[in-house]
Amino acid sequence: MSETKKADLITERSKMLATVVLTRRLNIDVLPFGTVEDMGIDLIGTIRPDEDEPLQGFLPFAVVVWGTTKELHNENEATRYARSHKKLRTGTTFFMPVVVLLFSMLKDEAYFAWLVKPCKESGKLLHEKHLKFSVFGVAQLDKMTTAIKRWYGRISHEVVADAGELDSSQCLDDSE
Amino acid sequence: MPVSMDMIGKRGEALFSVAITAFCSGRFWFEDTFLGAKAEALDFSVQLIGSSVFHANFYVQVKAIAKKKRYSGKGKRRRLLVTLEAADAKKLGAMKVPAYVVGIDIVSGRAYVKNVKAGATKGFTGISVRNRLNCNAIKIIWKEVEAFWQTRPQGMTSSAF
Repeated sequence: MSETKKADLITERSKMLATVVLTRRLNIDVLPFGTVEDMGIDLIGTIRPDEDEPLQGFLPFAVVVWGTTKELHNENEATRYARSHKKLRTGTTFFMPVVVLLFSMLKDEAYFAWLVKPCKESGKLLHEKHLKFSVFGVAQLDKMTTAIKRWYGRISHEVVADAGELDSSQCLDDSE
Repeated sequence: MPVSMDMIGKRGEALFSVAITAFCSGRFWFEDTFLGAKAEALDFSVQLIGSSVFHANFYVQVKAIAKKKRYSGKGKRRRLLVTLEAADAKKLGAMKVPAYVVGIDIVSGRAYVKNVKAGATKGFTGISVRNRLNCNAIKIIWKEVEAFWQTRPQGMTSSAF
């Protein structure tokens, strides 16, 4: 098998592994990002909040997926591997949270890092320069989901105008 | 949060894809192609990597289950409760090419495999948990499908075109 073919298989399998680990709670839908490769994004995840949660709606986040057939025994190895073998696209500003999922094909270990991280107290997004990976178990999945939902909750007051809150003349006119 | 059959189906397909394309003994053995809703009774075509026969493949119907009661029996008799209808068994059996049903436990993520033999007319109501789709099963399936394609009948030897 050629190295190109092997790399393609790793890429496709990594996306499937990402779908598997992200849908463990059945509250995330995972959609392909098509072939927009120059954006550096592989998948889009959307969180479906519970019915009793105050914030409802479409809550997307982006996913970068990396894979390797090398064994990654722990978080430090995953971090070292990613920093030495994978290149982050620079110069793109993302306006939604972005996570990186790294998989080792040997035992299907999953590691997680924020690329664009929601800030705790504001609606800002921190673009990380140096990724730090942690094991992507259910606890980390829940933490990620909660952080994204809370961030959308914070920015919703700035970006969503409920009916009656604003006069439509204050928003973009169709003719503009 | 309501869980739709669509979500269960999509997770089941992803779990199958991950299971069948596992990296075992230092190599990939299979490459899968999702056939989509239009392929009646067939969910995936799976190609053998490294086969001596060009495009040697087999077909898979994936049955995902997320119910609270997903298993019955104990010990060696324990089964994942997925059903293959007789109508689908007849379709798969009539193809006379290798076909399998893979049962997926959505909660544990485990996959179990059962062959549908050529000429099959009866369905089934469960797959033994002894038939786990793991690296061992992957190598066995690769060998038996490879053997099938190597010894298959001559095929179509004449045509009007």
